[in-house]
Amino acid sequence: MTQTRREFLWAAGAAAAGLAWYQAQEITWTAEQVAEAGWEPGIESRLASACLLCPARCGIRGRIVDGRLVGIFGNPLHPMNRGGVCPRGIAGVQALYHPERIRAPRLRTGARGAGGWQALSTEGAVALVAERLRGLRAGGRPDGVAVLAGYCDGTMHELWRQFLRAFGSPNYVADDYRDGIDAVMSLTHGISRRPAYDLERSGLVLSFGAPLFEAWWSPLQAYVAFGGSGGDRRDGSRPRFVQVDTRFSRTAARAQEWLGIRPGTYATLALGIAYVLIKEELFDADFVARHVTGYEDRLDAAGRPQEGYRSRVLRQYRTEEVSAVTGVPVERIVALAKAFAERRPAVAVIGAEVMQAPDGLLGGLAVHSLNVLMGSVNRPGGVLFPDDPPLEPLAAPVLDASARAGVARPPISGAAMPFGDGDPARRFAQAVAGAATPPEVLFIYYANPLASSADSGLWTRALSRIPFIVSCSPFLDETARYADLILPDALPYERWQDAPAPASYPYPTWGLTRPLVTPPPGAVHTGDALLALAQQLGGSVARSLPYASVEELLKARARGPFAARRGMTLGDEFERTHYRQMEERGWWLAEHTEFEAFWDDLVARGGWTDLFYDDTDPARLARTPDGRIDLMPPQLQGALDAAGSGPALYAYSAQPAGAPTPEFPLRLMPYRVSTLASGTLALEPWLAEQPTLFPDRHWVPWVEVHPATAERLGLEDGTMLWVRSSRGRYRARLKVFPGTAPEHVGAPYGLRHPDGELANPLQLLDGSADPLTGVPCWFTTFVRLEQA
Amino acid sequence: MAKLARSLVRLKSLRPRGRHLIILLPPLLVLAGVALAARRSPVAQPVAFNHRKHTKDLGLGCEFCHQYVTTGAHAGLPGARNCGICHQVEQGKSPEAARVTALLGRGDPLRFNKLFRLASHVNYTHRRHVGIAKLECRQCHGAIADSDRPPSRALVRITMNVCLDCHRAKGQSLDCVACHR
Amino acid sequence: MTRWGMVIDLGRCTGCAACEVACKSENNIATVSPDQADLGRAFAWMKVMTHVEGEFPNTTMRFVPRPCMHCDNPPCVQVCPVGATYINDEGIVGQIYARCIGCRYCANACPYTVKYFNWLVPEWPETARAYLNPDVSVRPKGVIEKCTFCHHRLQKAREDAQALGRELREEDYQPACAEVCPTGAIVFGDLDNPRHRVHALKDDPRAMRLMEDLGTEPKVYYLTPRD
Repeated sequence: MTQTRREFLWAAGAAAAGLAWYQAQEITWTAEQVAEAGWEPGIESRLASACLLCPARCGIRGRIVDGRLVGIFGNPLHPMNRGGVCPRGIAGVQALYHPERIRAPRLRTGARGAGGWQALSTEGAVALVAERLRGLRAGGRPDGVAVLAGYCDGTMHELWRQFLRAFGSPNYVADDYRDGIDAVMSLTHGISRRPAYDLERSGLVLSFGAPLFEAWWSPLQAYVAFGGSGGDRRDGSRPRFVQVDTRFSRTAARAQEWLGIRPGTYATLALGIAYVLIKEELFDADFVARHVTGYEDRLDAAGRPQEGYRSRVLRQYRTEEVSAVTGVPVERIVALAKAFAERRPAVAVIGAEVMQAPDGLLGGLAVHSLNVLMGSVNRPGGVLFPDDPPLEPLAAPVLDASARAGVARPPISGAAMPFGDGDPARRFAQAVAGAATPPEVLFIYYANPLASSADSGLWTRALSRIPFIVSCSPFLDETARYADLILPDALPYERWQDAPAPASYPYPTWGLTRPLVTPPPGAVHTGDALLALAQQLGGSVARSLPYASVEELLKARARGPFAARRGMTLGDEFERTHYRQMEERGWWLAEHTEFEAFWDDLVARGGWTDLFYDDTDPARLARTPDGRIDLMPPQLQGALDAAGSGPALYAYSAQPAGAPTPEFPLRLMPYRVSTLASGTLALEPWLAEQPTLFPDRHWVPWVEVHPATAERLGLEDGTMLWVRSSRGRYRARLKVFPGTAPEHVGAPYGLRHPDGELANPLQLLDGSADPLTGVPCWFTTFVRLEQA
Repeated sequence: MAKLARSLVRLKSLRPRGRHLIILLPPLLVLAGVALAARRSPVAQPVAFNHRKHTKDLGLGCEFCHQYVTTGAHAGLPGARNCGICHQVEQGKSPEAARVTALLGRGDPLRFNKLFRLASHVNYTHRRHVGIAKLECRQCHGAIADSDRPPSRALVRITMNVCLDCHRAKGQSLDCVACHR
Repeated sequence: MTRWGMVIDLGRCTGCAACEVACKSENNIATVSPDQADLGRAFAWMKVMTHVEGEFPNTTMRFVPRPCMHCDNPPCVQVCPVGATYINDEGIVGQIYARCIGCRYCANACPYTVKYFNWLVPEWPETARAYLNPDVSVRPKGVIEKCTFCHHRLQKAREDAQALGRELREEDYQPACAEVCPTGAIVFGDLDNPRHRVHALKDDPRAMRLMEDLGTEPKVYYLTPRD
């Protein structure tokens, strides 16, 4: 091939031009991203705060460079997480700087849900709400305002409550992670509180389906105990974790021992263990004799003989039978019971999965009875009932005549269940979608029922009957899309809030978040907005909330711990040990004599804690009339007798609830994923890319199926599926996984598809609930898989 | 980029008529030149800042304006806040000084532009070199303190050899990852 | 002589992946699209590898966090034609992006598959610039990247220690993964310094290294679970 000089020149010129263009385009790209961002001096600081992305409320430190939050780490001073942090917490920066954040208030312009919005000033938006609310009070219908709140604790919870009370509405509707375990404690101990578990000092942690390392109240509490990194055990020993679970979860995988069990048989296994403990006389007989009622047979109030716990267990839970029901081999049951007795203090943890069953409350009682038998209550390493942090209460609410009339009216969601209030949000939706007078104004605070609830159709009907919906979501989630007004909350890294440690943590601990970075000008801190609303409404509402800002309110509340003469602002291991040892000996040394200095320290260190637990206080063991723990609570007996033929206490059916049909042959086993809980936050790429258990299942939500089942159905790993029940269907990708039981479909809840669609197995549920607590049943629904 | 590539492909298909294509060469080269030049375009500043006046005549230290020169990664640039300390009211007789006062009066942020640039893969901090090693500014920036008007290009071109020579002379690390990120 | 190394206690690892996500945050690691991720092009300098054995209810699973091993005898360094990857005096295997020509020899030579190639121009949403770590570069298309033991933290720690006029301490320099690990499973320090925890841990009877038979002499040790 010949080439003319001209052609050569042409080619060379083009190549040069191309190269120059390429350099100009591509090489500078990197520089543009970071180095040429400006003359930022790179001045950095690490400031203490708290994570609000899940109920654990870990202490964090934000790394701030030139006013930007570039990294989130654990706060080593926080006694619960001690410097550790989970992936979800770290990915918080991706939520903070998410491209889909709503940066200013929006008012709906077109039809509901059509996506027409008009920007609004923050003052204008608050004034708009105030006007609506004023109308309600003027019309004598203060109870026409309702709040639907997701997980909400601490001062924000009390602020909402106080606002509603002063305004005159009983309609606070919780849509959170309630599981009815507080009812178990209320019945046996007379203490209506979720129990704290002293995992760190325990010898053996026996978890009945509690996802300790995944979506428990505080995975970090469990991690610190598992790693022995807390420093509470001087000998360097670590608790042994035993996981009883229907699913090979990450907790099951990392516990020292896993017992795969049939669904709905947790209580049977617990009582099978109790059988061995009683039969072999391994339990704490002294504790039971001194502190427990209902263990031996007795006469009831009418003088009739009543079978006690001991007789019921010995009569019904022989090990072979328990083994046949649960699928756990006899020798493992015996070995587990012996380990539970030997590695004291041992503690049995009730998982939400125990409670999400038709006889959940009774199951919870059975599991907890193991703690009672071994005396693992109010003792180091056992179940503890700590105090709440001694915060200064909010100002006493002032109720005018209108408010008094309003709060006296029955709440829209109707009466609670006999033992607890398992699903008030569902009752609210049912009432509003049905005949009840709907509220005029509904605030939605970190709840997303249109996507994450079990019945989005019901919620659509309910919301369509409510004239004015205000969403506080910083992201345009499915429910915010349906709102009339969005007041986008500031993100946790931009606002003042408090972060009390969850009930599972044994020491009262009060974390604080503070603005690490400046919020966008249009963000509205919901708490500040509520206080502003109260001022605009004036009168008794304003007098009930006399605070200029949430910061001021928190500072007022901090006077409680300052004056409590116990506890300390968060400190390092030396300070923690020092204060605990002093308090054990009845001493306490004030770190601060001035409140302002105390407050500054509180903010700088990230909170307050009191690491002393007084296990000699009998009021922490039982607050029943006779001061004893009751294994056969009479109220429950009465309710069960009244119900007639239903389940009885410590007597469980041998078969798990629900049955497969030819049409729907597989049992649906939904579970929460540690990194992505309930679909109220936008998709964070780091988390979507990193689904811990299955490194190959990035981005796309999956369901887990046993290899034999997949083969029988002719489905290959990675196939896109419809998971269908009689109630509906949703999309997910197949993961063939030998850790799933052959007759189950493991279904993570809370993941989003790359296009933003939430994969929600709950919408397939059959809608049944424990009649005693109202907690929905998660494991009684059957599905089939279809290729999508 | 992709567009250009497509047009190149199209040009190639016209090759039998290559005689005319030579006409396209000069514009292409010009284009290449423009692209190259765009990378190192002269830097303009909002006002004609006189370094000599401020440092030599008035005796202000570098830190007065370059606040982070001993503590930060970048030294930092002054803005309306720094200038306003003196120039809120008229200073001296220079028309440029009067302009600064006028600009400040109008609320102009006085954003100065970056002149010295390092490649993004260099992990350089002023803290290490000025704060700890106590290097003179002029060692890297040349006689900028003596200039009476803002230069449009850096007075000294810093290449890796400049860094390495100094590191060698002062017995500092020559390890790649000590400076590259 | 300083030799930076890591000991990972597999008996303490819960597979939570805090290390993995902290690494992405610390090192400006780009996220690829779901399609690209399916092609195995997602980046994870630190990756929690899993291995499943047995069927329900006798399943077991192992979690192995895998950073770059920073081998004392690194195969990647031997094949690099341009000296973009090399081992420094303190045992850190560096990767100089500005030198890398993208030939991917090193990625193929690495028996631990810790080297990642930038197939595409990484895409960051405009707002994501805010959380990029200014101490770490954003890699362009066409270069290899890998775990650096958060070497930029060493530079900063040295700078801090110098400014305070004191020696560098163990806690001054910890990579992001070790800092966030909630169970304390990841321990980092100078293998040759008897005052650092890793010095004793590397000689623990439970200690082992991956593919020791290859003679790569990794500086990442694993402690096998006790039971």
